[in-house]
Amino acid sequence: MRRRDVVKMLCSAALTAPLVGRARSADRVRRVGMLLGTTASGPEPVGAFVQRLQELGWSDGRNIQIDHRAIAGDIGRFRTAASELVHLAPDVIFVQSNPGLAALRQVTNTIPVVFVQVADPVGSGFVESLARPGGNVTGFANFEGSMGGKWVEALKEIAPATTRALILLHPETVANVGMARAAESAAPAVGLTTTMAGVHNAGEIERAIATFASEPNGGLIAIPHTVTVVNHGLIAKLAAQHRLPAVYAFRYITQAGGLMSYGVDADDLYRRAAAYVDRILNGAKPGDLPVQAPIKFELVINLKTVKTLELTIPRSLLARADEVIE
Amino acid sequence: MIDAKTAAAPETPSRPQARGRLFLKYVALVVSVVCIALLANGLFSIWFSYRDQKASLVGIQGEKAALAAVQIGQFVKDIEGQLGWMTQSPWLALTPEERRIDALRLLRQVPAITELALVDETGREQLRVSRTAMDAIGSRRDLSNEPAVVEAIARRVYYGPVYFRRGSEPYFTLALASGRRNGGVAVAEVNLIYVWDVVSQIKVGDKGKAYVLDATGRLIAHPDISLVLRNTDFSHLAQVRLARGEREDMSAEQAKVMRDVEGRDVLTAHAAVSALGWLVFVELPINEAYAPVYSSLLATGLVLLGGLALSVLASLMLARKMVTPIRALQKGAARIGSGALDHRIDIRTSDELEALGDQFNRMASQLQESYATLEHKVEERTHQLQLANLAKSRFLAAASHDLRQPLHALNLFVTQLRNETDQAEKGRVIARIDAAVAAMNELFNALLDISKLDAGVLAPSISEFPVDHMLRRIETTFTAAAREKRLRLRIISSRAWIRSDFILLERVMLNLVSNAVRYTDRGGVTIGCRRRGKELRIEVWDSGIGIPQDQQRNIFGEFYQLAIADGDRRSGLGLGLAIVDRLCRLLDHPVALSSSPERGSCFSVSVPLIAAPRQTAERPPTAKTAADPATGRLVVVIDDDALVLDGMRGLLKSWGCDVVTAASDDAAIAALATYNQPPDLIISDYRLTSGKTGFDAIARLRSVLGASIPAFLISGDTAPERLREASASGYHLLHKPVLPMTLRALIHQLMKERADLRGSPMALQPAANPSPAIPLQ
Repeated sequence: MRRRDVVKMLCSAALTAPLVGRARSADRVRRVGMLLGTTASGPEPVGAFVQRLQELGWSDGRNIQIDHRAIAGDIGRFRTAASELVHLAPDVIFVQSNPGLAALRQVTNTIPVVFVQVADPVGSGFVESLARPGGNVTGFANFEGSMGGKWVEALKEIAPATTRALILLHPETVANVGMARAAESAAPAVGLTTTMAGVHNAGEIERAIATFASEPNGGLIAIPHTVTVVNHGLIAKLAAQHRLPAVYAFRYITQAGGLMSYGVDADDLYRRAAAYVDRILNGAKPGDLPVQAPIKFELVINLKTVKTLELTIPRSLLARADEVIE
Repeated sequence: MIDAKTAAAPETPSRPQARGRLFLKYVALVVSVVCIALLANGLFSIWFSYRDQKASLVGIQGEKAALAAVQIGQFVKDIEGQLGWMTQSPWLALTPEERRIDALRLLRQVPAITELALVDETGREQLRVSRTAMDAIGSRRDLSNEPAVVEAIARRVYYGPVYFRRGSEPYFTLALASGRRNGGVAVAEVNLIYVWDVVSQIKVGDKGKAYVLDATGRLIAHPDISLVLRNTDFSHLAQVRLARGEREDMSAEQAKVMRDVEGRDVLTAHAAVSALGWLVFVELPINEAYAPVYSSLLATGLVLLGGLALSVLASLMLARKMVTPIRALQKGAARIGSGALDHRIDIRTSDELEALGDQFNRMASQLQESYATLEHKVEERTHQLQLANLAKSRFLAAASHDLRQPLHALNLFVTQLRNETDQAEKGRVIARIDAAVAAMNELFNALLDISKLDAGVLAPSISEFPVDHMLRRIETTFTAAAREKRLRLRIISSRAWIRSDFILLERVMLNLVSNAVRYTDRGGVTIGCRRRGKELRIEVWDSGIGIPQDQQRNIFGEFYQLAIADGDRRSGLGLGLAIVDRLCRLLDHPVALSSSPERGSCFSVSVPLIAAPRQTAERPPTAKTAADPATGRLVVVIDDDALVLDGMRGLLKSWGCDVVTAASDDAAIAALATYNQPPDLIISDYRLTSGKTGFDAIARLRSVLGASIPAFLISGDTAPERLREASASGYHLLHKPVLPMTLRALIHQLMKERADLRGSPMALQPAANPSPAIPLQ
């Protein structure tokens, strides 16, 4: 009898031990910090990130607690927002955009960080290499410098009459500068001249566009950055107002009225970032997770805007357009 | 008596370890047999199923790997095919713009191509389209020395080595030359991340995976993309090394158990993607791979346990069935053995055990019967012994009674003699004393005869003689007695010769005739012979009182006398017919009787008849009267009774002997010392003082005085043991009271023998009384 009891005890202990272990890890509510350049609601598909996290078993309020800090385009506030987040001692921080990551790196180099929408992370000095980021930072890059050339090419294709292109960038962001330079060097090949315009806020954007549009045959390229993303509505409006053909980096801008975009599928990036967060929460080290670059780019054209600008979509663009929005 | 035995003997307890051992033995036997069978079966099936499953798993893995390799190869082939569309088309004839649109379309069709360059037959780049960089139209860059171009032109298709863009993304160059002459070459940079799509679709069990390595062992595609982007080098893994050591076109190799990149044990198989030199590996964690084997092991184990349990149960039941009847047998046998003979074993298994139980029961009932019979026989014998005891008591009573009569008479006669002065009257009294003594003598002789007969010491000496001799002697004996009773005595002579013992047969006849005379008051007694085949019937007819039918058997018993109505008991002890009966049994001569009351009786004895021999018959041995050899002999008499010694001295002296008497052998030796010659005869009483027997005395004297001195014993002891002893020792033995005539005859015989033969005094003759019984008045 006694032996049987001992065996029962052992068996139940063995069975419940993993549960206990899991309960322990499940009991402890993890903190996930989110540092957003835009807002939580848009235009970036932050919801895709949260949803994917949920699919992977992390439910906000149940076993994780998500702390948002969104600066809504006010770059200057990145630093404070980052510090606040770090003070909350999260298990992992999810950050969006180059300036956000830059600010975060200044306040912590131990808390795991997963970034999205960061251009040229190696060139910007955020990671050592794509294959082995090292440190505490990993994530999903969006564009490399050469994309600038593609945008220039695309602009010329959609609006062959264009001879001058305005390039909106955030001059402090290294990646932005890289992309702008690529655009600049590619321009002559397609018969364009470029004008750089460093912008920090809506006001500067307005002024830059207004100044540029005073001369004809102009086109616009909005280098992807928090500033341009947050103010993409304004940019599109101004572009329409000044009858400037514009090329953007994100489809939601095209959906919002922009003429054309050639860029990555942001949804996909955010979803994959959630998978990285899940792995980190389960114990993976960010330094071991390689930085992933996009393999798919999508060309989206807004037909209405095309018609409004009295343009036609050339066959070359039609051939490779992924979506034409009516 | 049996019950007493049961009560007395304690039941021997069976040893504790013996009890139940048969049961355990059977249980153990059956269990072990079944266990061995089950174990053997289980082990065999486990072994074989393990091997089979492993083999099939290995086979499946191999096939999966082969399939994966085919799929990957197909991926590349598809791209090739698309490129082929391009190269087959006369793109060189197109306008640049047209070319570009075609190229862009191709890019749209094949997401895996990141960059596409079209090179003309001279090696100059005519077009380049890219997803991430600016397109170049008509750059005319000289690519004629590029290995891709060179190889493609030479071999139509070129598969470049895998390289990693930005140190992370795996790419390879695929170049396809146009089949048309001077058709140019299409060079595509293929992003191998797209292989991840294919690889992640390959299902390998539940937790298994497939991955692709390039020829150097670096990871191209893996379900975990981060491993690919990290440039993980798999070339150190044992299975990779093994695979790379083989020829490229060998595929679907035997799956092996190796360690994967994380150090876990996996079942791995690989296949080569032909022409590309890539290796596709398929890995399945060992636990999962062997799960079916383990579960079948478990199942077999459970079955084994179940079988064990069942076998234990079954064997318990079976053993019980087998052991119960055996136990019943054992218990039953024990009970019967301890005396409960009425116990019967009840087994009903209708097999050999039941038969055994029946045998036991039969044995028990036979034992019961035997005991019953034994008891009955013992009772009978006891009864017989009691009867015999009774008879002996009666005999003693009768004997003592019959002895008193002559003693009483003797008393009277001796007193009368003492006082009588008349010589003539004295003589008459002396005659009467003689008669009384003779009567007592007869009694004692008869007793002795009976004793001798019962002891079996009489050995008949068979001879052949004419029956007439005996008849004459009988006639002589009984003529006077018959005349006195005014009976007619008639002897019919016969010329027959018979074979028998003369003396014993004569005794028989004497007793028969004596009885006939005694029990006949008128008429007569006739003795005759009748031939009956090989036998002669000697018949004694009398016209006496007859014997009733119901008593005819009994009269041959001892001391039996007919109860006669008038209560007149005849004299005589009634031993006569008893002696006849015994003698005839000894001689094996059948005795018959026919009689009826008041009409007389006929006793007959049948003896073997022989043919009369031609020569004259030997004279039957008769008592001879020889010259008295006793005169002048020196006789030693040893007896512890002084009276007897006196009497003996007187008697022997009257015969002319020299007599020395002594009470013991020592006294005799002392007494004889004064004589200068050894004695001629030693006579000793059997029972002497201080426990010595006459044998000892005679032996002593013989050893001292001479070994060949004749000797005989006198004893008052007629017990059959004495008779047998004496007969065995070879000495003559006379019984007190000894008739002087008997004494004298023996002395004469011994002296004569000595004189004749100088031989051994140990003549082995029965101490038969040579003189016939004297008929009583």
